[in-house]
Amino acid sequence: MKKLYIYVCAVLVSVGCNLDIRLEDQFSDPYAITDTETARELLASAYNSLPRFQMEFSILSDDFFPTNLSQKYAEMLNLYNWQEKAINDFSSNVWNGYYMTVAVINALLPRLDLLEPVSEEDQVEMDRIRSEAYALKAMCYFDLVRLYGPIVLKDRLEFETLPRSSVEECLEEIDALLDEAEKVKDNDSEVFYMSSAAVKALRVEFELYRGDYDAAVGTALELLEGAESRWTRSSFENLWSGNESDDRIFAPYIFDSFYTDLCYDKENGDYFILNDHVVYDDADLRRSWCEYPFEMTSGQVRALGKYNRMYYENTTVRYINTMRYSGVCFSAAEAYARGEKPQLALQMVNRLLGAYGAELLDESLEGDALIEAILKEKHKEFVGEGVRYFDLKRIGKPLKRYRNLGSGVSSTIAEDDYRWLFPIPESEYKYNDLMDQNPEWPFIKTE
Amino acid sequence: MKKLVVYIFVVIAVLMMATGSLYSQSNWRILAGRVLDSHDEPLAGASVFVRGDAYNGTSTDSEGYFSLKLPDERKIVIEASFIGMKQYVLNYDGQKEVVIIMEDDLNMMESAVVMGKQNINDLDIRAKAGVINMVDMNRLQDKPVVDLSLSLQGSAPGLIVTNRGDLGTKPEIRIRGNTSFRKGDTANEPLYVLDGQVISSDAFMTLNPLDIADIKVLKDAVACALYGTKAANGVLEITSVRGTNGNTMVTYDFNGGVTFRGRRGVPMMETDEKLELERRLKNPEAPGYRYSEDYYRRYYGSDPNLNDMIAYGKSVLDELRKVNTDWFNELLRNDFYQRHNLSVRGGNDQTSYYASANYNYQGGQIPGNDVRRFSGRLSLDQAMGKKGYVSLSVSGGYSKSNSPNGSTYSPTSLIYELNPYESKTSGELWSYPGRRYDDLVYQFERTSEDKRFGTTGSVNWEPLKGLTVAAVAGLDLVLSESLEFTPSTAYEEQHSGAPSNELGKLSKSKNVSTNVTTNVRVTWNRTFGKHDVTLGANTDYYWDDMDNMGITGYGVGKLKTPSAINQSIEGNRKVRTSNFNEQTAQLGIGFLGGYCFDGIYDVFGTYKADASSILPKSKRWNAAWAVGAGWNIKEYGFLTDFDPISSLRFKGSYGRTASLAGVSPALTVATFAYLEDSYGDQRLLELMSLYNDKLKPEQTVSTEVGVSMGFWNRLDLDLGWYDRRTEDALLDVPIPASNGFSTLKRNIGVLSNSGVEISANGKIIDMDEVRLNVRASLAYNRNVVVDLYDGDRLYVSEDSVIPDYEVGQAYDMIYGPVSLGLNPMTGLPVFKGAYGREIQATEKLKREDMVPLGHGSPPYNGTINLSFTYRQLEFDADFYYVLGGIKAYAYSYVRDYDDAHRNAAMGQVGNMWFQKGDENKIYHTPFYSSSAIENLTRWPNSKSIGSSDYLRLQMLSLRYRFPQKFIRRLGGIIKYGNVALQASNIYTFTRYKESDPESGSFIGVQQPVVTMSLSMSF
Repeated sequence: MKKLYIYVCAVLVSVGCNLDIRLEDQFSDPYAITDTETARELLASAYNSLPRFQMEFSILSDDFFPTNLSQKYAEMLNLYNWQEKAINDFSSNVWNGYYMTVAVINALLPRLDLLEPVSEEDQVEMDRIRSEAYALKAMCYFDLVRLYGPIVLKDRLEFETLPRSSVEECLEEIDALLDEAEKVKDNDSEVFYMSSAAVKALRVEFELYRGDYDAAVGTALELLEGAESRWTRSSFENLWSGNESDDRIFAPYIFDSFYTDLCYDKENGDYFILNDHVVYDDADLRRSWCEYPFEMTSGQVRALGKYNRMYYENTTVRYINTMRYSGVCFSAAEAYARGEKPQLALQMVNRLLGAYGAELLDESLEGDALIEAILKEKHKEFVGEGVRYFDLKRIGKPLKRYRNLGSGVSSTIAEDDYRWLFPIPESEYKYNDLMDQNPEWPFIKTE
Repeated sequence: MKKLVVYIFVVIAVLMMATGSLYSQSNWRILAGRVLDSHDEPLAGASVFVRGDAYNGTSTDSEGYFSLKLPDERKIVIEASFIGMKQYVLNYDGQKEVVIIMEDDLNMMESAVVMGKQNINDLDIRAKAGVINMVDMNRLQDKPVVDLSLSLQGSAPGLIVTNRGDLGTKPEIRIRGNTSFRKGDTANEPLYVLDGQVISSDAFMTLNPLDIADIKVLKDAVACALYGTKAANGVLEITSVRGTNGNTMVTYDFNGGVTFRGRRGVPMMETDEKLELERRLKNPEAPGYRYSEDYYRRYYGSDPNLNDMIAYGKSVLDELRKVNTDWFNELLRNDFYQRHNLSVRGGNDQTSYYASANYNYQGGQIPGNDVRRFSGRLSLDQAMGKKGYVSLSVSGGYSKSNSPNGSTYSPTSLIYELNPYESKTSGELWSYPGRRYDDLVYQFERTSEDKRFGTTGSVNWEPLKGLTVAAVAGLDLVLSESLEFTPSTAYEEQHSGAPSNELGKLSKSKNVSTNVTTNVRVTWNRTFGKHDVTLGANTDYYWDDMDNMGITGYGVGKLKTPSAINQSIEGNRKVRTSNFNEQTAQLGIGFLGGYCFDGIYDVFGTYKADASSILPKSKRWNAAWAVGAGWNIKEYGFLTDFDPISSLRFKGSYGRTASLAGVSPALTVATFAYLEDSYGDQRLLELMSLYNDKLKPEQTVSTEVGVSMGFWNRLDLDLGWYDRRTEDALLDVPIPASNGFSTLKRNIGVLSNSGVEISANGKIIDMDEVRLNVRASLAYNRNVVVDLYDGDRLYVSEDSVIPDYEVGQAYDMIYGPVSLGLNPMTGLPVFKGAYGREIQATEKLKREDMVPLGHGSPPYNGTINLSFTYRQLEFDADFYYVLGGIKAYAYSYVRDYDDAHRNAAMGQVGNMWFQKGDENKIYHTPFYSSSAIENLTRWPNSKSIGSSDYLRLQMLSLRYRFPQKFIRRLGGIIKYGNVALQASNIYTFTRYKESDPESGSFIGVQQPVVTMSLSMSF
């Protein structure tokens, strides 16, 4: 009998001793990122977490006029009017959003290094994942630097309290990240991944920003070979009707609804409509997709087309058009113009305008007037996509804030206004003693 | 590790058996006797046995005679019991014969239970040193409350039960406050153990109170330490009713009655006052202004038809004045309560059994809110020869609760929103423009069902005198299902903008939680002269599994079934599935030792090491240990015969327990999970949280000192002081956002809960036929932040102005400015800032302007219980009180310009500031600039809080027991019977002006229930 009890106890104990329980739907190190599939899935969550503030950046720029409905969305109207608090709140979302993506990439990269490729294809896929991760991180840093100036460069996933690096250091880091990404030359992945073309397009943007115009043009030309075929009516239509389009270079996939906040409701219209300075020629094929004529109580207005039109027409948005060949073309043109090659600049931009059936730029333009003309065309191309804000910031122009339907100018943001540089959000500086604030923004430390 | 545990276990077991056999002896004495009732009639079948030795017992013969063979030991206690009689206890001092006269027990048919303990951790030695409160099950069973957890309220000092929602919502249960900085149940809930088997709190809620023999509340380290790291928050140890070794008895209980609407939180305006308020608030969206003379004069002052307009407006208002709806009565209801319970109990000295079936229903205040429960239980105890017995029990339950209150929608809140001049049939409502009454009700349903199954088996074996081997193994399984349904006809759906084939939302989820327990314990107890020694060891294993699956889809229309989900929908109304599974296991090994000298001094120590699968290997083993000592002064020779002091005992304990409550693997190591969304054709593997590889389990350090005293056998007093510190307390603290995550779980500091618990029990009248017993208790708990590792203050959000945790301060403190009242010129409050500075409402308040206003969780609570019996009549009343807390008023029923179209609290017209010079008003001006909003809405101030003190008449029971004469006249079919009038939560006395002082919400009110009950045993 004694023996029996001892046996019973022994059995119970040994059955009970298994404490290495792997959870069914949670995967912990080292059983989490075990192959290129899981690495790709983790990278997908980095793509998925990319901030989507196209509408907010458009509202901050001169894309829109407010309407009589804007009052009903005070938060957005305050942002339109560049109210300090509204920008502060928005800045917090932007900062958190980009660093979330950076954190996922920081989680991926060291785990990717631990993987052993099982085949040649596997090695190729692994290299692509690495390249895309670097490119994505470069893109996040690039946006952050343009918005905040000096930023925190974060290399590890683990909790750290870090100071800001200087803008030069940040640009060097982005350059280095792009170099890493460019090691893979033939990544022709889907449009919602950072393919080699997307890395190049990002490089063009980056070099233009950094002032290395030759480098910008050089990379752009590689991309733009035979690009006219991409600038057709059908490919522009496809951009804004949820289909595959040749003009896309990088367009994150979206599962949820997108850009629905511009519309108050489908009967009454939008909170914001197109700025009167964004006008298209009748023959311009972009017109019918960028403008959306709408009857509001105040009369006929030009609402934004694009995603907004898709919302009105119940078209599902699946891709957020983030990088396009047309954008590369404008950047190249601007780089030529700034590099004092006005003829090449005109040629470049007119390639696109010609393809669109729009009026070509005057051959006599040069200098600042030429740059301005190029940017004006770029504004038309990207209206409502949040691109204009970054251009305005880069070239430093005063920005007018309009009253209802553009009936007057309520205020003008000077080109050297402090608000051009976003404030470091409280969620950063309150818990980071190494952090300072951008000039003139509130900096309230609570012990 | 496995091997080590086995070896240690075997060694201990063998040692104990060896020592046990050394000291076994064989001197026996014989005791012969007879058992009679109070009328000197012999009692046949009464059981007589030696306490603590379940195998040495017998039953009386038909003439009431018995004989017992007794070992030659210093102290032997003999117990005699008979159904319906009070237990008789005899201190055997060597006599050869005895006559036992037993008295009727009017309270309960306490019947002899042959077999021993189910909760094998419930050791006698533990009971000496530990702080353990017994819940008075009779009182608990008398309360007509469907929810067992809620009926525990007030049942033991330091066990704090707080209702927090409508009927069927799980209440908050804490033993001596929150152990952690982290709020919520996962980190602070006690451990529930039923017959030695760990069960979930959801399973506990479905238990039938009539199946429970006792509930022990384990509070200090010594009491809890045997459960190891699982017990840092205290333990509720539940023992089920078992069979008897007497005649089979069938008992039927019925309880039926009415549930009431309960307390009217805030009296709302009647039509005249409401229309007058609207006129003053000047919002044309409310009819009181829209049709007033003021309105026409202002907007149509020069219109030639002005007088006609005014007359028309007056006629509209007169029409409205004809209606005066009391929405409290209209929306809430009286419903009913019923309980049927049938049980069979019986057995002999070898086998005993208990079986029961129960049905319970309670209707909530609002139509659509109710709880019903079925449960059944079967238990069997079988002796195995003379030295052991096995016990088996199986139980099952089904409970279903319905609620129309959802997270975004609550019909209960309509009581405070709908206007008195509106009715269910009045068409479009002013209070909800564009909606009719029917658009507000039947908008949402939630049904939750719990299906529970549990089985426990235990073995008790005493191979040698003094050596007990006990093992328990069990499984408890709760399947919780919930269904949430928003029909396509709901207003929200109709106006969602979605196409008609996508309307109607349905979520269904199933969650299976499985708890498996095995525990093997060896205990050796010997007495050598005046020395009593206990040694023991155990090993236990707990395995939990949570498995959840859910589906949410759209397009179901009016059909309440997942099969109606329209699976063709794309986009954000696409059907979604979710899955969550977490398995954790814990293995423990424990040792204990106890020593008692001459019944005067006792010491007890226990050590338990537990390994948990939650933590990585290197941190897996954590310890719980405790030591306790007692000093029983009454046992000294000079006091034993001193009647004025009937008992006097001091005790103290100290212990340390690691706690893993609320810790999951994702917190210490990078852990990934799939999201429901996708990216292109890829699944999304997401990093769940930022992990902290330095994370350590919280450590709970408890110190306890107590004294129990008894005087003249009439008055008993229990006094205890405790301090429970939680070191390395965990909290999600904010980190710089550049880390990609906003918070990280870290060990941030030390907190302490300390307090005093007092209970007194007095037999005020103690005569044969009249008895009056009063029991009162008071528990005080004070929590304080003792230390924070990073500085003196901690803000959990970047918006915090006041630190959420501050060294030296209580962490449930509500802060706000002192209000000096309304400025008669502006109608806005003026605050008293730091250094006596006056601050206007439009100025920004700073940290130094805030003062602690009071405790959010009340520090004092207690009960007063009265029991009065006169012959066959019994009267019981329970009061429960809570003192010392505050709650901020939401003032959601005070209207300003923007919400003038919703109903307001009665008296607002007179109490609100409307114009310059208005003095002594309570409510600030309805017209204020946005710069004042922060100070008006973000913080409570000294004038916008109320004391949440209350005294509740929690239970009333008036019972009449059928006298035996009457029962005999019925021909012996019925053995016992009684009828009773029972009521719960009858009235709450409080100064709190808004809703409910307990839950602080309009929805969560414990409703009064009044029932009649009938109980019969056959």
